[in-house]
Parts: sequence; C-alpha cells; structure tokens
Amino acid sequence: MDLTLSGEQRLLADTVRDLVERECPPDLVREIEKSERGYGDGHWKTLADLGLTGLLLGEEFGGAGQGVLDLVVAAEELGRGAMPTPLLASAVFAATAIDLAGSAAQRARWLPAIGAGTAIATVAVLEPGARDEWGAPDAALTPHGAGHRLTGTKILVPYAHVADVLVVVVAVAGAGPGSGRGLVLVDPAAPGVTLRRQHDGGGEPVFEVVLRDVEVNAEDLLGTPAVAGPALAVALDRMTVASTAYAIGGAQRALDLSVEHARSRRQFGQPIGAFQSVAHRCVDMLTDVEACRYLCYQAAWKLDAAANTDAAANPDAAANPDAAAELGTPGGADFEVAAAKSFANDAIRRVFTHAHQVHGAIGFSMEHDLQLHSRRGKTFELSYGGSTWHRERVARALDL
Amino acid sequence: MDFEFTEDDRAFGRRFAELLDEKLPADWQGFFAEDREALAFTREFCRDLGRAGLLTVSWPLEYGGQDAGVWKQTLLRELMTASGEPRGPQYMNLNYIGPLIMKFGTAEQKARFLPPMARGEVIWTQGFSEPDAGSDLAALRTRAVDHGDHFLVTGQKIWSSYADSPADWNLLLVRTNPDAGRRRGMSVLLVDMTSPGITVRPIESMGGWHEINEVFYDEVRVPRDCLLGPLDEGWGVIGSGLTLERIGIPRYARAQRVVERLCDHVRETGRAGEPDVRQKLADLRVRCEAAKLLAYRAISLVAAGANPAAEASTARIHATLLEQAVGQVGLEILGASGRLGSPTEDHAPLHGLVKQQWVHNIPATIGAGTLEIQKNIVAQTALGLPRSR
Repeated sequence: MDLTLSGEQRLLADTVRDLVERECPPDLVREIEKSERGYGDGHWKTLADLGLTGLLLGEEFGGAGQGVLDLVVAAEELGRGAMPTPLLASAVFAATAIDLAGSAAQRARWLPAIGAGTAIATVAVLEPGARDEWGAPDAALTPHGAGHRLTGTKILVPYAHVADVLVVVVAVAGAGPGSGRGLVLVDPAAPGVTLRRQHDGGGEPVFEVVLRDVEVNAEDLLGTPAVAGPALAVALDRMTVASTAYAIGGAQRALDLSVEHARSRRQFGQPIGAFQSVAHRCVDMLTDVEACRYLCYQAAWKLDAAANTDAAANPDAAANPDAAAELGTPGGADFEVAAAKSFANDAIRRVFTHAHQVHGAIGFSMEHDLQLHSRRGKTFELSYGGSTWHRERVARALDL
Repeated sequence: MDFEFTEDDRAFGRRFAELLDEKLPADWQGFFAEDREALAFTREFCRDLGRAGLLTVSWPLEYGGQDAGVWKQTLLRELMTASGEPRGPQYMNLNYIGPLIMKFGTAEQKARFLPPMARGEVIWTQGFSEPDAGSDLAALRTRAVDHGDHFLVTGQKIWSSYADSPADWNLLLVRTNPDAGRRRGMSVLLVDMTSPGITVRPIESMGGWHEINEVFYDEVRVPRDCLLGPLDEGWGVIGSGLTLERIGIPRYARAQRVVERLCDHVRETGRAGEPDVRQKLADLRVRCEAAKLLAYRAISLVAAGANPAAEASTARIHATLLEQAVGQVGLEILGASGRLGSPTEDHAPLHGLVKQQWVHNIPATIGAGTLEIQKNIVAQTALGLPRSR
C-alpha cells in the first residue's frame, strides 16, 4: 500500500502542467471554444509529441504501454487548464474499444495512427433521450446483400467533425455480459452520414450524427457481439475514469481561484477569507477534491490491475472471444470505477457551487475564468453516468 | 502507487482477525455498548495481547514492540475499531500517548511508562479541555506552580475520557507560565491519578455510563521527572499528539463494518431490492472508501517521513462526517424498529448496532478538535487563508 505518486508520474504531471500553462492560457481557451475546429491544432501536436496519444497502447503499435493511472495524472493537468482536446475521446475511449474488440487488421489499421496522433477516432454512443452511455441503443444493422446497412441517430459525439473513424454502438441480439450492444467502424465521410454541430456548453465540440442506410461490410464490424459488449464496457470505464480526472483538474482550478479570491478580495475591512463562512467553504472544496482524486487514482489503478490479470492484453480479442468476454465480468473494477464517478459527480457539483458563492457576482461573468471550469463540471456530471446509475453499480458490486 | 497490501501484511491481518474471533465473547457488542462488563473484558483482553507481545506490535523494537510498520499497524487498528474496540480505553496509550512519550520523553520516562502500556496493564486518561477552554484550548487556566523538584497543580479539567475507569495515569496540559502569552507557557505533565488532591466526577452522557468526566485538581503534587517535553513548550507536544490521534482511530473501519451489517440485514429481511435502500447503502459504502483512502494517503506520507497535519485533518473531516451519516441514514433505512437501540431489547434490529452508531457519533465532530477547528487548521495550513474569526 502506498498512495504517493511515483517520481515518473510526478514528472509527467509537472510536464503537462507547464505545457498547459504556457500554451493554453484561458483567453486562448475562449478563442478555441468559438472556433469551428474546437481544439488547438498545435496543442494536438504537442500532446502527440509528448506521447499522450499513444500512452495506453502497446509497444507493437508504437505506444508507450503505460496504464490508466499514468493517463489520469496527465488528464488532471489538462483539465486544470480546461484545454479542449480530442485526446480522451480518441486515445482512451475509441482506442480502447478498437484495441479490445478489433481484429488484427483493424488494430493494425487504426491503433498506430491514433497513437501517433495522425488519426482521430471517436465513439458514437448516446442517442436522443438517453440518460447515460450504458443504455440500450436503437441504432441497428439490417442485412443487405453480403453486408449490412446501419441506421440510427447519435448525439453529443465529441470531435466527430475531425474524426477519421467513428466507433458506433449498435443494437445486436445476444446474451452475455454487455449483451445487446455491438460496435461498428464507420467512416464519417461515407454516404448516409450527416453531422450537425450541437452546443452543450461544455467547451468541446459535439455533434449529432445521423446514420441513414450506411453501408457496413464484414471488415467494419468491430468484434463479435460477445467481444464487443465487454470491450465497450471496459472502454466506457476507462473513459469514465479519464474524464473524472479531467474534471478533478477543473475542480482543483476552481478551488485555487476561490482561495486566491478569498485572500485578495476585501470587504468589511478584511479579506473575505478571514470569515469562517467563506474559509470553510474553501476547505469543503479541498476535502471534496482530495477525496475525488484518490478515488479516481484507485479506480485507474484497479483498471490497470484488471487489465494485467485478465484478457485485456490479449493480442487478438476477435480470435479469442471467450477470453475477451471476461473483461466486463465482476471482479474487475466495477466497484472502484462506480465509486469514483458517483462520488465525483456529487462532489464536483458541490465544489462549483461553493466556488461560485465564494466569487460572488464576478464568477458569473464570462470574463472571469471560473465559468470555463464550472460549465465543464456540469457537463462532466451529466456524462458517463450520473450518480444514481453509478451507485446502482456499487450496490450490485456489494451483492445487493 | 499501490492500492493493495503486501501478502505479508494481509497474512498479519488474517492472523489478527482469527485471534479476535477466538477471544471476543459471542455476544460482544463493543466497548461502547451499554455493558459494564465490557471494561473488565477489555482489561483481560489487553493483558492477553500484552503477554503474547501483540499489543504493541507496531512500536519500535527498543520499546518492546516488533517494528511492524505503518500498514500492519493500520490493519490492526482497523480490526480493533471495526470490532468495537476490545482494547477499551487503552487504545489511547497505543495510538498517541505512548508515541508522544517515545518522541518527547526522557530515557527514564520511556523505561518507566512504556513497558506497562506494552503489557496492557495501565489505563491513561487525558486532561486538555476546561470549562472555559474548549475549542479555545489555549485559554486554559489549570495552573502548575514550579517548586523545583515538583509542581503543584490546581484547577479543573473536563471531558477527560475514561478517568473513572479508574484511570491510572493522566496526560495533563497545564499552564506553567501565565506571563508567557497564550500559546507559550503551557507544559505537559504525566500525573499519577492516585495522587492526593484529585477528584473525578463522571459525567452522564447520551452515550452511556462511562467515557467522560470532570477532574478537579487541588494542589496535586507532581514530581518534576513527570514533566513531558520542555517546560513551557507543551502546546507543540500536544499538537503532535493530536495529529497522531486524528489519524490513529480508523473511524471509517467501524463505519464500514456497520454498513456491511446493514447490507446483510436488508438482504436477510428481503429489502435489498428497494431502490432507495440500494442508493443509500451504496452511497455510504462509497464514502467509507473515500475516508479510507484519505487516511491511507496521510499514512503514506507518515511512512515517507512527513508530518501530514493538514492531510490528517482532511481525513478526519471525512471520517467523522461519515460516522454520523452511517448512524443517521442507517436508522432511516431501519425505520421505526430502529428506535429499539439497546442490545437487550428483543426486537432491536442488529442488536441496536445502528442506534449505537448514531448516538456515539454525535460528538464525533466535537472531540479532539471540533469540525470547525479542523476546518480552520486546513484553511490556514493547506490553503494559506488568513486566520478566521
């Protein structure tokens, strides 16, 4: 047992923090948010050069073979600077799905490019009216000639406009863990695919993706349903934990801004931080952020431990569906991931409530940096499962 | 980072768990239950552990321990706390009074006071708070007048835990120099509770028959060799002790045990499918995890040689609020039948465990520094905010 970061992890955190402070000041974030691209092209190159796009991928794909724990250390620093980036959607969510469910050819086609940052992938999972990413999709394949046609509507798909490939979650028949969900690789430029920008206030570009009779061939199916369901479950858990880390970075920044404000803002002849009602709000923020951080580290560590002991490192999941099917079974990281997300959802909401109260009116203005983070905080809370869903997962993990 | 105990640590934990199974009476409700027999049992239990060399396994070799390391110590404390503290009042010796004597004591004091603790033969109480010095501890007035080879102590302390057990010794914070300023001029004395001039008056509490007392001192003679640490520098000594105390009790372990018993209970009574019950129990269990990890973070820093005062307060804030939530939410889950909270009541759910959890944790956010004082410490030390008023 040792809850301190390694020297390498601290170095990674410092490196990313310096980089974000230097290259991604808040005014640039505002500018990027208004741009069509929605993320900084230069930032993307820098993150790729730093090896973050290939952090989780195996060395055979040119990756660093590191763990989710290393990734969350970096993601927190990106969140601290509110950097808009397809990193998590591409190099965590989509890359994990392709890595765990893909055939040798699919992995060879996409993983080296995703890892190098020369390709961007994203996952289309949510549909209109969905409460979370774990629900059953309506998008479905219908047999057509030798292949299939895909029809459905996806919403809130991050960075679909710059994606080279979409991993689309579709309804399939079948039983077993993660049953009812299959994965299909779709070219966003293919006939029948229409993108429309949506605005959720979360600071990153998201899209409605309408799929009308999109041609799907055998080589576009990402794993058999028995493989795809568990692979999606693991990919979702990794994405949940990575986005939690990003949100923790934002919450930490909100705390730092609040403390700065409480020290410098004077009313009634003293800094407002000398009033216990203000100071204690800051402490409540700190204790919440700290708890989130260690729950998040634990979930990441557990995901890495599960990956090392079960079939996640299997060289060809599609060829070995039984092994891959173990990925989403109990004994994995269900409890730890759901604990981290359910706690963080509520805690980060509390943190931003306090941060806005400590800041007073100025925190509500767009000229102040707090809004960059509090908008992202709300988006985080509503993404990758709400507290109620994750507490239900915890209850199941407790055999209730 | 590693979120797993070593096999060696786990094996240690298993051995201790087996020992507890063997030693604890079948109807053991915990030291804090309303059972006067419990104190006698805890004395016997500590002597047994002491004879087996197991009471102070985490102490250094030179003080009769086995140098077991912080994580074995943590596992041991978790098991003890989760099981309702079968060591009784003596947990205080092991958690912070002994370590304070190790840190600040003379060679003679160590040789004199540590072995009886290791043998499980001595009960210590503490004298910090006074009627007019609670959260404002530095306002204390109990006076120790220096007479060269001894001090004469006069004053009144309150909320002295276990003084009526009766306690044998007392870790007493007194004012030795009234002119040195509020936080200077205090000293720590080790006081023999059989000294003439000491009167103990138990305070009946919502929590039952023992725990807290008023202690009066009327010209009590304390030999000079019972001064712990430097004269007039007692504030720093007590500060170290309170940091140890704040992380010394793994409160989350007891909370988690109660949550686990509640989970068993709802499964057995067919209520595990109720959505609000599932949500509430899951939430409590997650908060146990958060409190545990924050404690482990502070302990990791101790293991690395740091003195994590702010981290200890952060961990304690989570743990004490959790303990209260487990009692409060647990009773809400049990509903009307939860009103029956005494182990002797026939229909008391879980033998009154949850009601006990509620009542015993009303002062969880008060003792060893109130929640507000903990927050002030964190605000000033970790966040650099100005002193609050």
